[in-house]
This record gives sequence, C-alpha cells and structure tokens, in this order.
Amino acid sequence: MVFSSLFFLFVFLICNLIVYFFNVKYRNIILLAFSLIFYSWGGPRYLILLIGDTFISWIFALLMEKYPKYKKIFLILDLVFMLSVLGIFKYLGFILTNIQHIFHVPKEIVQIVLPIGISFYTFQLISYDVDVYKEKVKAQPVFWKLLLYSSLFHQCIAGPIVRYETVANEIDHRKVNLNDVYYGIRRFSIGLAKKAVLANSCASIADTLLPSGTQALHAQSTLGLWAGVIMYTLQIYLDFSAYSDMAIGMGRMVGFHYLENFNYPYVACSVQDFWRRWHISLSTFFRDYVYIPLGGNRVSKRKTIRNLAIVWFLTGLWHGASWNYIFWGLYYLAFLLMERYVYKDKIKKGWSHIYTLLVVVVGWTIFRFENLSELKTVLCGMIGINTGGFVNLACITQLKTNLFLILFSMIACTNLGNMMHNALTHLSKTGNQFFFYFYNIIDTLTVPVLLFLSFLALIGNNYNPFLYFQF
Amino acid sequence: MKKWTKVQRQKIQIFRLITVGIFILFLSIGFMLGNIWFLRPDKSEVEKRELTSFPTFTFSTFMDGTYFSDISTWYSDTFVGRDTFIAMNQSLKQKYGIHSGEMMVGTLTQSDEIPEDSSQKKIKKDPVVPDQNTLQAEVTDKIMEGLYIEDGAAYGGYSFSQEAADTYIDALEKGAEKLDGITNVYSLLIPNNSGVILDDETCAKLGGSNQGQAIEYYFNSYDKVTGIEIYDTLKKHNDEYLYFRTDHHWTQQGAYYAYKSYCKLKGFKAEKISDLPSYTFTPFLGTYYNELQLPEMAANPDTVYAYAPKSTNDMLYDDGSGNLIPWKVIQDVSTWNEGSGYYCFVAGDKPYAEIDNPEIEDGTSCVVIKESYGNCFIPFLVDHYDKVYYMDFRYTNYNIVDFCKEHNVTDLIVENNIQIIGSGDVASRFYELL
Repeated sequence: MVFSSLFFLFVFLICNLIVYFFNVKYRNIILLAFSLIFYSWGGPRYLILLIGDTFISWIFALLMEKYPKYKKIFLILDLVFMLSVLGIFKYLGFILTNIQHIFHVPKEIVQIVLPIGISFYTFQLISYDVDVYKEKVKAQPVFWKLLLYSSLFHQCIAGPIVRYETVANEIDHRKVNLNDVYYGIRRFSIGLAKKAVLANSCASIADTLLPSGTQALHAQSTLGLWAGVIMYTLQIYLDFSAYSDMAIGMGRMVGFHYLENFNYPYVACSVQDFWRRWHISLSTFFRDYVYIPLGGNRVSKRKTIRNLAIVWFLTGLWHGASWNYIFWGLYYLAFLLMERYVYKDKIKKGWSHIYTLLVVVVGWTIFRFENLSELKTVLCGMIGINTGGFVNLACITQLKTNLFLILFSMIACTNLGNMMHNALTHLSKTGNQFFFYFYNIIDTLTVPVLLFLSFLALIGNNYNPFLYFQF
Repeated sequence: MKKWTKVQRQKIQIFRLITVGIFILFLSIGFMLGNIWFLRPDKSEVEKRELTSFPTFTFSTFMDGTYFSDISTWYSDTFVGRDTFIAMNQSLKQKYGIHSGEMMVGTLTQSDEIPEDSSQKKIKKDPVVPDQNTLQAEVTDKIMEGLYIEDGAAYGGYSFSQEAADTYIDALEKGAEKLDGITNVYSLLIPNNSGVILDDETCAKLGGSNQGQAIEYYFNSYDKVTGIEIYDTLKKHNDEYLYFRTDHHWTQQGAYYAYKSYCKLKGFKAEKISDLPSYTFTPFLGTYYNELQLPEMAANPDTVYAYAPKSTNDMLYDDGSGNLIPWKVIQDVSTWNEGSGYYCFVAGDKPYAEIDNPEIEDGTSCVVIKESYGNCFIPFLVDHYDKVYYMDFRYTNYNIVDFCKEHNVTDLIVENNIQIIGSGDVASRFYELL
C-alpha cells in the first residue's frame, strides 16, 4: 500500500485514526495491528521475514544485556544473520549474475523477489542491536513492542531509518496534544501534495523526455536529455522527501517525533553539504555504524580514504543490486575526496551551488539507468553525441506546457516556502490584526486545499510508485 | 522574537481545531463515498474504457500481494464521480504551463531506414503475442506517440520498423498461401493524417518515416497479397475532410477513396457517396481531445458524416460471449455523449460481426480483419456482397484462414493503420490469426 492512494487515505488511515483515538488503553496494539496489515498489503509471505528478523534481533539484544561478557559474539551473530538475510534477498541474484557472466555458471539464476522495505527495517534493527551493544539503549523486553518499532507503518517500508533511541521512550510514554495532531496533519498534507501533484507530474515529464530503450534515447535532443534528468532530479527529491514528510506527519499525529530526513539538499553549496542534507537518516547511519567504527578521519590519510571508500561503496550498494548504484556511490566518493584534498574551499560562493547541482544532476543520471548502455547513451547525448540535435519540438512543448509546474517544483525544493511562512508567522506576532487573521486563515486553508488537489491528482493517476520502495 | 498574546494563542487553537476537523471530515467523506458500492462506475466515458473490476481471490495472488494491490487499484479506478474529478484535474493541468498553437506531445519510437528493396528480411523469430489487454495498450500507445498539434488539430506521427513490417508481410503472405485458390487476400494500409495532410517540410520537422515510402515497401514485398493503393489518392484530395482534427481516425470521406480504389481493383461499380443514406453527428471530440484536453479543440469540434449501405442497415455483432446482438451498420449516436461519434460505425470494435445483404443471394462474401480504422470502410462493402463479416484483430478468437475456408469466403481484406502495425506485438498477432 502506498500513502498516496485513495485506499490508504479513505480506508486505512481514517480507520486507523478513529480506532486509535477512541481507544486509550491498547493504542500500541492497535498501531501494531494496523502496521502488520499495512505491511501484509504488499504480500503476507514477506511478513514472516519481518517478524523473523525482529525476533532474532530481539533475542540477541536480550542476550547481550543478560550476558555482557559474550555480547560481542552475540552482536556478530546477529549482524551475520541480518546481513545474510538482506544479502540473499537483495544481492544474491546480482552476485550470481556477475559470476555467471564471468564463469558461465550457474546456468539458471533463481529470481528472488525483493521483500518490500527490507533495507529499511534491517538497518533499523541493526541500529537497535548495535545501540544495545554500546549500552546506549536498553534492550526491549517485550517482543511485540520491538515488532511495533520495526514494522510501524509510518516508516517501515521507505524510511526514514528511525533509530530505536529516537522512539524508545515514546513507545511507552508518548503524549499527544492538539498542536501535535495539527502539525502532523499539516506535514502529512504537504507531503501528500508534494507526491501526488508535484513528484508524479515531474515523473511523467521525465519519463517522456527520457524514453526507455537505447535507440529512443539516442534520438532525443541534448536539451531534452538535460531537461529529462533535471526533471528526474526534481522528482526523486519531491518523491522521497514527500514520503518522509508523510511519515513524520503521521508519527506526530500519534505522538512520535521522528527526526528530519531532508534539509533542502538542492540548496547545498558542496557535495559534502549535499550529503548532510540528503537522506540524513541513511548518511548518519553509515557515519555512526560504519565510518566512525572504522576510525573515521582520526586515522592516517590512507585509512581515511579507505574508510570513505567503504562507506560510499556500501551507500551505492544499499540503493540497489546493480552496477550503476555502485558507480553512483563511487562517483560521490570521487567528488568528496576532491573536495577534501584537492579544491577544498577554492570554489567561490555562488559557483559552488552550480557546481554542486551539476554533480547531483549527473549523479541522478547514473542512478536512474540500471542499463549501462542506456546510461552511456544519455551521458553522450548530454554532451551532444546523439542523433536528435540540440533541441526538438517535443522537448520545447513539454517545457512550455509544464512551465509553471516546473518552476513551482523547483521552488518547492528550496526553503523559500518555509521562509515565507516564517515571515508570515513573524508578521502575525506584530499585533496587527490583519496579519494575524491572514496567517491563521492561510494556515487553516492550506490543509484542505492540498488534500483536495492531491485527491484530484490521485483519482485518475496510474503512475504512482514511490521510488524508494525498491530499496 | 515577539510572542503571541494569550488571547491570540487561544484563537490559534481554535483555527487549528478547525484544521483537524476539516482533515477528519475530508477523510470521512472520502470513506463514505468509497463505500457507496452501487454508485461505483464500471466504465469511464472520459477514458473510453471498462474500469477495473474487483479482483478474484486466489491463494497465490493473496500470498504475493497482487490481490491487495488489485483491490487498491479497483478502489481508486471505480471511485464515485471519478470522471468528473478527472475532468477537473485535466482542466487544472491546463494551467501547468503555456499552450501555444504548435506543440509536440510524446516521442516517436526510433525508426528504421526504409530499405530500397525487400530482399533483406528481418522477420521476428518465434513471435510471442501478448495478452489482449497488453495488445490493446500497445495499440493505444502507438496511436498516441509523437503527436503534433497545430491550431487545434492533432496529427499522429509514424515510425517505420523493419522487423514489424517484415513480420506483418510474412504473416499475410503465409495466410494468402494457405487460402490460395479459395480467397483473394487484399491489404489496406491506412496512412496517418500527418502523412496525408501536412506538407513535407512539417513532416520532416516531426521526424519519423515517410508513410508513402513505407506503404510502397509493404506493397512491393507482397507476392500473393494485393495492396489497395490509397496513399496518393488521399494526398491528392488532402484539402477535403479526410481526417478528424480531434480524433486519430479518418473520416468516412477518407474511407470512401479507399472504397473507390478497391472497387477499381475488383471491377465493382462504386456507389456515389451522395446517393447513400447519410447521417450527421456533431459535435464530436475524439481520442486526441481525450488525451490532450485542449480548449482550442473543444472550441472547434469535429462532425461525423456517416453513410449507410443502400441495401440494408441491419447487422449482428458478437457481444464477446458468443451472443449475436442485432444492431445498425450506422447507429444513431446523436443522443450519446460528444466523444461517441465514431461509435456510429458497425457497432465499434467487436470480436465478430456479420452483415447480410438481402438484395444479393449469390453466395459472395467478404471478411474484413481490422482495427477501428476499418469501421467506417466496412459500410461501403455491404452493397457488393451477399455477406460481409468482420473481426477486430485485438479481440477475435477466430482463426481467419479456417473461417475463410469454412465459409468459402471470396475476399479477405486485412485493414490496418500504418502506425499501429509498426508495433512488433501487433504484427506478431497476425501470425496467430492467419
């Protein structure tokens, strides 16, 4: 089930909220039941895996706490199990394909379906076990409460990767007031509109400008390819951040305070800055559970480079079992190393934004095309090696007929909207009655307007997948 | 930073309470609308398709989640008032940017070069035919790819695929070989409006392939199949109303030139169009309008001029379950909605239909295997045969060769739009049928 579907809105969410708020005593049980139904919607057979992973994680955490002498062994066993499951379901096919390519064995490769959200909940459970090992959090004695943490439908299948320590206390002791519900609803509505109206429209333009097949891409104009990858750049942020907005919003409605996952990444002034702002829960996971344990940057230059290389190889691999994701990770490694050791702060402000955006846009190009031949065609086409010329009427038409949407989507990727809202909030506090009421009326109308626009966009839209579901 | 006063904070709480109330109300209204089962539509007038039906439960679809995802799709696809909401959304989308007189929507598939001679064949090996829904979707995609819009009229592009062409030619030739001495096989290839109406300079700007050259390639490759020449004739008359502006089909005036060309081949005396019983259906806003929703199209809609056979206007069609339903060759659709004008011809796209001419009892018959372009061509044939049968290649279960043999059919006309048979899947389907 996806958040941006009528079934989710008009059946699942409303039922969840009504049952949840009319029952004070069993709220966690209700959340768990709804979360398991939500997860089962993508195929009940994968539920066994989620429950099994959680059970193993729960057992080992308890063992680590009970037998501190052997906690390292328990942690290693736990990590081996969790990563093996992830490896089998996500990477085995990829590994075997590569072996087959080189050694021509095995003859047939079994197609393993990727269980939805496995990358997200595996990382959540790993963070839980490592934090128990480091004694940062106490092991959860009640299994179903840990299952609630790992399966919570707000974030289980597409993040953000919520650390156990963030919600440990709130699982048992959370309070909700009117402001929480209001902020949650507002955030959810913004996320829904971002996805249903903006991200889906950007996706449609990107798909038109970047048709599938090497021949079709070769025939696209240079401007068409650039416009296509820029639209994809907008799509991927609006899509993924929308999901996080909705997750954070729904969490807030019931008293959970998930950490932010994005901080306007496209206004970054360096690649390093971009990664501080993009998918924060993933980059901090790799920082805290891989980079720092390896020694981080408090080691020799050679080892720092090695540590960074491991982190960025894993970052690429986490996104998908395909070479383009690995190249994508290593591509960022190259720029991060250059920023660190070659040009440091030499790029002037202003130019640094352009440089960062250029790196990011080309990065998303690598990310989009799993087919390396298509990737090569697009990259060549972007520098003019194509048969479609510089510009064609189809590209101009796409850009003209979606001009305002594109501009609005670009603005939605910046903090301009937030700044305007803050300015209005400030004005409403000046004592001027007009601004006070204006601010409140605008705020009150925002939710129904966004919901209605999203509803209209969703009702006849067949294109609605969340990009990050595949991870 | 200043703070709100206590009174202001109280007022803000009221505003926030209102927001929460609106949210709950919105979801509740949606919940209630979603539960009015008897008001759920089963077909869409806007999209001209049957809507998704509630999925059938099976253990495997339950376990892999497709049963649930199908429920979600059904829920959204058949939501109460969906056509109204879709129309609202489409008019909203018009505000997304600037619309000018000249536009290009979608990208044409990369085309192959049209070979000078047909000796180097690229026939698809072991052609696999997709299921009916996929085939239908493929046809729709072909129709809508690379549309050029100028002054409220849309023009379909064309891209030549040698593999698709050779596969199609081979399928027809094999069919003709099996029917040798029993049934004459004719090929009617209908160009898109761009090839007939637009000048060469504009066509070149759109990219794609030359339709005249492509049709020539098909016809030159035939051995036992006879091509019905219409391209040059249509080009010569391109100042007439041969194609709709808001729909991808040709008009019956365009089909009339194909009929005249066919009569010449057969030695029939063609009826004068002015002598045929005629009908007018207006306004007509067709498939291009549905796809593009351009106000300039709505402001200048098409008109369907339909001509019925002299001999009879009665026919029977198969409703898909084997039941033969009585209908009209030209059905009065004046009370139908404005997107239905082209449905007036021979009951639309049916798996099978037959028209019995009461004025001829000589046992002559003709089978037309076609897609929707053939619908307005078929009425002209009725006056020349004892029986006319037609099958839509997407939906029929008949093997055409067997059918022709069983019914001792005189002539078989395979009618197709040139762009639609540019699809390898469509071309493969003819292997199955012939």
